[in-house]
Amino acid sequence: MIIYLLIIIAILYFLSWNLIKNRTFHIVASTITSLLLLGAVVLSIMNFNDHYGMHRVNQTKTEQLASVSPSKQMKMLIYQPVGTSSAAKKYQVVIYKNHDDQKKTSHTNPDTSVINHIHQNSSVKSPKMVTTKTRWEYKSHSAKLMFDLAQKANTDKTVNDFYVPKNWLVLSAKQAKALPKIMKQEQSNMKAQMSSPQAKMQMQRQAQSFIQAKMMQAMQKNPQMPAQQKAKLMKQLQAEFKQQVQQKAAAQLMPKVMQQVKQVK
Amino acid sequence: MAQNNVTVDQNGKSYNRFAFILLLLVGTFFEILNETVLATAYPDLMKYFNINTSTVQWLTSAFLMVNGIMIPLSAWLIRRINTKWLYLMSLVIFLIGTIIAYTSTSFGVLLTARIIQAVSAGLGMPLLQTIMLYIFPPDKRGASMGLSGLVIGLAPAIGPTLSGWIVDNASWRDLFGMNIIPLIIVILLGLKFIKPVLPTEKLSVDYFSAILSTIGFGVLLYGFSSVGNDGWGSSTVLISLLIGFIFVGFFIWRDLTVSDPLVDLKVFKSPQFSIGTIIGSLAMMSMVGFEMVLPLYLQTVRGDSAFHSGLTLLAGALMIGILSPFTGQIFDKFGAKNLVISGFLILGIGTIPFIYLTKDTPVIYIVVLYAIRSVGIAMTMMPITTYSMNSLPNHLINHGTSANNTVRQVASSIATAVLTSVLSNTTNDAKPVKHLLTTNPLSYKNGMINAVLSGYHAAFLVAALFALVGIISAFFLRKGKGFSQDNAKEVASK
Repeated sequence: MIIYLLIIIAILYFLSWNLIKNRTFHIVASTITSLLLLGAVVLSIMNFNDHYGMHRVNQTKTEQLASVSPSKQMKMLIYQPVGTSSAAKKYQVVIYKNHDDQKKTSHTNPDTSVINHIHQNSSVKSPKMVTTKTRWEYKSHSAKLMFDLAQKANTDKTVNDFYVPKNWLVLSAKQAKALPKIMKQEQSNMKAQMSSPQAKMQMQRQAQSFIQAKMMQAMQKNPQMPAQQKAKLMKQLQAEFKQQVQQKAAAQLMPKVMQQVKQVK
Repeated sequence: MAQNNVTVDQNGKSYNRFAFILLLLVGTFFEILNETVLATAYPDLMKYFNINTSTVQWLTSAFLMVNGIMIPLSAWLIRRINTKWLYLMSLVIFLIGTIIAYTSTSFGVLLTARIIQAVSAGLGMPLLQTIMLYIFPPDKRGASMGLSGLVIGLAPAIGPTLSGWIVDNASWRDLFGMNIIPLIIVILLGLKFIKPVLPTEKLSVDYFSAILSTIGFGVLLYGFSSVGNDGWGSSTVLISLLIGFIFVGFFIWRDLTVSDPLVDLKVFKSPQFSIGTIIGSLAMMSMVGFEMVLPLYLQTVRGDSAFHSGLTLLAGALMIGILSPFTGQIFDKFGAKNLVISGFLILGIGTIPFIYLTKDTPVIYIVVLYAIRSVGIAMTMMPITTYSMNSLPNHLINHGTSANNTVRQVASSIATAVLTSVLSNTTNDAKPVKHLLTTNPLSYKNGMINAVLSGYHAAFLVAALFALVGIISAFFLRKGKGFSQDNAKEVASK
């Protein structure tokens, strides 16, 4: 409408200024069309510069969030900081997946109208992504009729909130890249430590006391245990101990790895 | 005293006026079109000849300079050389320049070709106007000047769109190649239909004036065109403006003292001519300055291609072309005052929105508002020229045309200089601090866009001020068509 109005008023303006002979009529018509033209132009300015006739509408969408790492044990969300200052933090680009079977990762658009927050705390049970789009839409049917041809509804800004549980890794792109290398390094370090003679002796002693204690318990419960069963239990206990050691090692490994990863800037 | 409404040429033979005017308009259209046709091809040319931006810009600035130098000389040429041969000669020179440009293999050759083209184009516009004013009776001049407005307003505005389309679909050579066949046709038909309509006399040229005007206007125009790259404070600009003004001053002094001057500056004794020339220059400044800044906004802020930005301006350009003949007829009926006041008013109102442009203002707003603004150009530019010329007796028309066009040429180069420097200074002042680029690049980018936008806002504000000055000066116009005494007698006797 506003476009048609501008054109029609401009034509009327042209005609009434130039082609009306009657002096009074000429002055009246010229004044009116000039004011109308000014009015239509001001309305246009208000519409494209100040979103006149429009209001902000929020649309919220919640989606699943899947780990970007192929490993099942290590769930991961990756971000790429854009700029070094703390004010630039909200403009970081987040690299994510919505489904496990998604082949390529998605990423947020690097723009000041796209704001990304990552929330990681113990209250988050399942990972999710909440997108809040703020759109400029026409307030009323008549406003839409007036301006829709000239300016369509459009997006003002987007806020992405990523919620991840505590057991996820939230890493910058650089950190994620460095992770496999650091992991291997630490693993071999740990192996080297464990294979020293002292560590082996200590380990043996620990194994002995663990197995002895467990055996004693079992014997107390069942003093007439046949030798065959004893041997079986022995094996079982050995395996149990080995597993415990591995778990312990893994538990020690991760904090060490993370400590190093966090130093990657 | 030569009669008006000339239906016979200087040899007393009658001629086909329709064919004559058509050939005149078409030939001049190609000459003026070549002023603005290259801008889109700059990136291609830079690659082809391996040259940088400021070098490639010489293809347009040298063209405009030589164009400006030729306009004062045109008054003498028009009085000295038989119209038919003058026009055909200028077209042949233009054709030669065009063919050299089409086949050029080095930048030097291309630049020479452009200068040859400009020699001819500088003659084209004053010659067209002088002929149109001369062969029509005073009460039909508005319409006839409107026809030339169709060419003068339309050709430079179509240039960027047309060239964008050609560069996208063919090569830069075709920008020149496309002129060759139409020019040959116009020249061949011209041999039959172009007639010597203007009176000539065996005049010797005052070489001293010619040299003074060539150096003066050449250096002056060079100075103003350097402002865009170097800024007002640079020594290149200041020295060339100083030299330019000194030589123009000498030229004026020489012109006023010599008995048969190159351009008879007595034309400025008519207040109607002087005011009309000032107002016409304001209209020109509004048009040229704006036509330079808006495509820049479209290309730098919005990332439009040259072709797209040209397309956005096309509706406005067509508006000037289509309306000019009508506004000319309105002038013939009602005179200039209302046309010019209302023209500058709609020009001003149509410019205001551009002061508020955002980086994503819908393009349809820009198209329509630019077209509305162009209505104002069509209402002012040619009618005010006719009004100025009407105050002059017939034997001064060629002097008037040449003086009027020279002032306009200088004024539009000033407008370009002022707008580019306002644009770059405001942008530089508003730029975000440099270290933000590393600490927060996205907000740096945002700040940069806002800085550039504020530059454009300031430039458009200046363009709106041109229109405001235009409205105020239009009130000094007299009502009616402002005929000189001998014109008035002629109209009354009919």
